[in-house]
Amino acid sequence: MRPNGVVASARGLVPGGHLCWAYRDREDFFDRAREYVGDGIDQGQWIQYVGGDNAQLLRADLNSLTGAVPLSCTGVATTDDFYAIRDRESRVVDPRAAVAAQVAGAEWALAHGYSGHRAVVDCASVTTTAAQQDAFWQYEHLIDQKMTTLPMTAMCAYPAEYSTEALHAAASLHPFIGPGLSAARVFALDEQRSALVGEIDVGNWRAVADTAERVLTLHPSHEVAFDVANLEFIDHRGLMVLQDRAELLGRTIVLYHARPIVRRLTTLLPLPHIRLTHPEDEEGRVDVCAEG
Amino acid sequence: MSAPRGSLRQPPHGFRHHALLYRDDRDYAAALRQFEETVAGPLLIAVPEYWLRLALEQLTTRESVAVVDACDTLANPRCLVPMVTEFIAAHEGAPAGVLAQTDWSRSPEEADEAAIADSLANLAFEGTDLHLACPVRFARDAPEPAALGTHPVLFCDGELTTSSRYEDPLAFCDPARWPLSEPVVSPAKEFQLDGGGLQVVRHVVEEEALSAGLPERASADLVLSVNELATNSLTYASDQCRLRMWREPGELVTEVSDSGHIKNPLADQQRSVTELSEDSTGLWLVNQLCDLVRIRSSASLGTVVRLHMHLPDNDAGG
Repeated sequence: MRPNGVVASARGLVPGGHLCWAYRDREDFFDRAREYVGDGIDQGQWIQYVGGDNAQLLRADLNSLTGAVPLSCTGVATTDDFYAIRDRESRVVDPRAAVAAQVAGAEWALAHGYSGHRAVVDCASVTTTAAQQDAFWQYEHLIDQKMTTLPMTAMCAYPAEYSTEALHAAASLHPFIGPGLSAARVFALDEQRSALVGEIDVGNWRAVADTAERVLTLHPSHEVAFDVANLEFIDHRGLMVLQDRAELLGRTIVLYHARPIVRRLTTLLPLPHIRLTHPEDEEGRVDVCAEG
Repeated sequence: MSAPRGSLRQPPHGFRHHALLYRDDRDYAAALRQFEETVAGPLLIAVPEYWLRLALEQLTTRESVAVVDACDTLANPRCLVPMVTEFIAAHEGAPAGVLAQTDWSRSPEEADEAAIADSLANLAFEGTDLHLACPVRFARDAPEPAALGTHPVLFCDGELTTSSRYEDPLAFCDPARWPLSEPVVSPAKEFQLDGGGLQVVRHVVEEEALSAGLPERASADLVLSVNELATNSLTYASDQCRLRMWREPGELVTEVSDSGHIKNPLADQQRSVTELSEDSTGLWLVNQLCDLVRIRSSASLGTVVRLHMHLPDNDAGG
């Protein structure tokens, strides 16, 4: 299982750790950014500091994080440039174009002798409207997939004043999250499979279903696999809404490493779009990574 | 009993719910043979293992029959209606016969719930083409069986009679007639749920279940069951929900109560496939997961659901 968890700071997520943080204020954001950037410098990574301000202001912020001395391993980028946003008016991210830009950035870092690419991003300027959020949540999952195969990572910071729903939607697509953001989340294990972790009950089953729907939509295959070894709890409604979303999209959710509670529910409920399996049973049938 | 109405071999139409009264194995076998002859369609035998062997000896000429051990399937009597419903659905509503025995040596609590479940079957299967027959031991020196109040028709000594003691199911199942006694020990856990997260509830229930000696899988079943009931309380009831847990000899009892009223007496017997907002699958699920479920619900008393889980023998009475 890819490292994941709820963390109290941004420190120690090395070499990578895709983190979602809801910042209370500018000071909170800078504290976390300083931790995340510091680890990246220690790891020999290429650091990019990204936000909605112009490059001059971003550089000033970055200098304050690194002790006012510009470091050759750091750079700044506006969100427009970083995500290769074409429509500068709506500032809606094109998820796949943004991923391509990030991959190019990681490859550039490797070609120039860095051990990887690390970004600290204040996502506020590209996640304000519903259209921006919908596109950006898609990007979050797609870039999370790339992070499983390339030495790239990011701290995605969102204003804590966002609605609970928006913060949940953002956080639920990261392996690492700050405290109090989401009781359950989905993150990539590779480009085919994801992990569904945490606890799902009446407090979050619709939100989790929304996240699962985003992930299902982004996968081209009919069957989409989720490792649920760390899914600590799910009630029957949680499974039923996942079943409903899969049915709606004409997909089948394949769960493996299911705990007894999940296995029990799947024997009792009619869930034609949810299938349980073990990775060993799937060898040679679908792509299943060696992780287990 | 009123005058005989004839044998079991009457033309099978509509819902028939018969208590097959027997004194010994010979009576049992004879009644079973007659019952079986009335069932042209699919047949399900759900009786305890001892009678299962006896029953199968009588059915040697039948091509196919579904059999289950009632001590497993009907250990929680509230699984009677769900079991039969599933059997009927599996055969697409074809005229069916079910021999279902809920009467064996049980605790008083289990016997009460078996009587309630038998009575609810009259509501659940009204209008179906089902012949439901329930073997009931009958001895002259024993107390009158509750089955006389729950089965409209009795079969005894080769004859059918209407039961003069039969009661309307809603009256028979009136929760005021089946009060739940207060625990004789102080609950080990007791607290109110006020709409906060259910994670704490699950943690408390799991901790107490494991501490009481419940195996891991049964503990997980109990945690899920309590979560389902608490979810219903928080979703449907207007105010707080109370949780209590205590140990009785050989079992762990968990009670979830609130001020809500479950108006449909069959709510827990049906696996709802309607909108999630009207979902009663949680209650149905609880019946499948727990060893015994006791539900009392009325407008004046609110709803109390007690979940009994058997503790392993070495921890009995813990």
